Amino acid sequence: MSSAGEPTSSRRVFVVEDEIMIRMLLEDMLADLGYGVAASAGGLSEAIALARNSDFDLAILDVNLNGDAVYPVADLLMERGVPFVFSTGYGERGLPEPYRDRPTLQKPFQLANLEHILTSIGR
Amino acid sequence: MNGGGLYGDVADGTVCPAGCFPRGSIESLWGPKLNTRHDKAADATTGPGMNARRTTETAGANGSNPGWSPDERLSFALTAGDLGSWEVDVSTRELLFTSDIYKANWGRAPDHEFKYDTLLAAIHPDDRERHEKAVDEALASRGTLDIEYRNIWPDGTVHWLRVRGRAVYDHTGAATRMAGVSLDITDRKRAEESLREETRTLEILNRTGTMLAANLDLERLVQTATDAATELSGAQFGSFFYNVLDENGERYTLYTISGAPREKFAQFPMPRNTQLFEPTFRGTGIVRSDDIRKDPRYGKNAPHFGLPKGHLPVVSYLAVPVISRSGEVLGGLFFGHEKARMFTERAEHIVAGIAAQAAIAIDNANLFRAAESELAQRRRIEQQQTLLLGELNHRVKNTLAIVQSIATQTLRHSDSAEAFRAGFEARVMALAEAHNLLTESNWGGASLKDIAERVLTPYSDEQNRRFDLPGQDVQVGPKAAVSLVMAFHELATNAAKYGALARPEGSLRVDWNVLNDADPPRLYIRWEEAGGPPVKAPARQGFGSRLIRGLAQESSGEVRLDFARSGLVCTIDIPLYGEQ
Repeated sequence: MSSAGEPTSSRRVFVVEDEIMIRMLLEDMLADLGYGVAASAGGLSEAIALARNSDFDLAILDVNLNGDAVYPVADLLMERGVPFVFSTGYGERGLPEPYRDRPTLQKPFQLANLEHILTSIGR
Repeated sequence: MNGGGLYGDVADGTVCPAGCFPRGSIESLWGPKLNTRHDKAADATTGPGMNARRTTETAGANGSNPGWSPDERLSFALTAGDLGSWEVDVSTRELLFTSDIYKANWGRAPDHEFKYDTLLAAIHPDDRERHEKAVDEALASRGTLDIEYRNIWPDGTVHWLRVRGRAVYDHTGAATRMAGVSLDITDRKRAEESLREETRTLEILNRTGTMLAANLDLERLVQTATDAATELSGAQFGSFFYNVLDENGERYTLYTISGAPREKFAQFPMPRNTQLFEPTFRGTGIVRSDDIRKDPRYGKNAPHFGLPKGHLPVVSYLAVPVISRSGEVLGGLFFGHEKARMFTERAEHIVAGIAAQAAIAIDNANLFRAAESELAQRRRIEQQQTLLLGELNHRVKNTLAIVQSIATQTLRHSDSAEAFRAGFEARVMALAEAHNLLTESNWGGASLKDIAERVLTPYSDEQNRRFDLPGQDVQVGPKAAVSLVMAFHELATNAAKYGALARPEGSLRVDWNVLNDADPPRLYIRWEEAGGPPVKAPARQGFGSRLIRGLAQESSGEVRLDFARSGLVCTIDIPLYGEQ
């Protein structure tokens, strides 16, 4: 768990990303955009546990977590009705059928794009 | 013997007024000859009345021939036609007359006293019943007896006869006598037989050729070839041993069996390149033997010295190599029979033909298989390439995001453009170093000792090695390797500015151990500085400390930064994922 120390009134994001430095980047970018980081995870089992139990408004899910696909987490979030966006370096074609229409963040990240996507899914 | 000859007008069954079987004239024609195969034309020209024949034909308008008696004419005609004649008493079944040619048809000399019992005994046992029936039916229907049957000569040879005859009947309608002619048709029967055999051979060859040409399944090809060759060679059993390559290019031998269950061969080893088999397996020639046991090459080799115990008996032996267009020996067709002299030259030729066809079919099947596997391999490579490109793209994008992160954070904590440039450059170099390490292991991971060495070596020189790595080496996954290189880089940079590496007498020690009892096993690292200036805790959290704390984020990892006055102590406790 890490905290960017944002005010509780802001929208809170769950970040799933297995690369520490990319996680740090996302946390900073989210802080810059006025979002708080509710929780972050780098491995699948940790991400599943947090997806079940923590409280957040949006999620950013890295598709590949040390070789594990993040889809079980995505399924949990769909069940809970929490909006989320995938982040990937594979390009949009890499997503399997049920998730193909989900918005995707391409690495490396663009601040304006991140803001746009988060705004659109968070509505 | 000549009683009331009945050949005067056989066609309508009326009684011949004169004697019908002029024995004397036949003897004058045939002399002592017994053989039925003679030159009839030559005989005819030597016959009596030949000179008168032309006269007969020219003077034949009124049907009379002054030079020949009716007996002479009949006798001459019968002889010219190579027809035997006979007459039998229907009630007593006594032969009333048999001509010399007739006796010759049964392999008997003219002076042999041919009896009806002799006749019955000489008819081939399989044809006796048919003969009796045909006679009875002819009598009952007042029709013509017309039958072909085999008879066995005193010398044991079998001959075919065609016999025709009719009966005469008394005023009560009872048959009294029966008479007729006989013709040796052995040659015709043999010709028919060989024609049938030839037709059957062609049919099988045609069927086999079609099947071989249409099929690409190796197993079926060789079975078809083996079956056809076994059938056509007259072998009791045949087999086809053939060499194939497995997926790894290893050569091994398969076999098919025809004419005997496969189990009969299952317990025997594959035939080896012994003297006997060598011509077949080396493709030097066909081996055909009437009795292989008498072959000088037979029985020379341990452990069997001939056939293995329990092998089907082989006396007649035929082996034909199957040779590819390239000259490579694909295998061999082997045939056996328990009797001697079973394989003719003809059988050898047929099998050689089948072997040639089989070779072409096997070549085709092999080419097809090779093309298939080539295509499959290309598809596999293409898939791998696509996968690899995707993976490469992913890795590059991730790395760009990492560089983006380094730039953003370095900028956040830099007071000047110069400080940013130096910090950014050093971190990108550290990242590049991590990639170098991983590239050496094909991105499989790195050794912790290598990671620490790479990061710390620039801070020491030959006289003053300033760090100590006492831990037993351990492998970490690629992701952990990148993170640890970056973390050690941050710690070392900090030590060079504010800690142990800031003074020549300062030193550091990086130790680690693995807790294998945990699931997953945990890696415990302790970074300990000594001999540096007094330590103060930093006012704010920089890139380095965030990165190090970030390491702990996975599954209840724990990181401690203890800014003790004597020197910084950093402990990192993380799960040791092989894949990470």
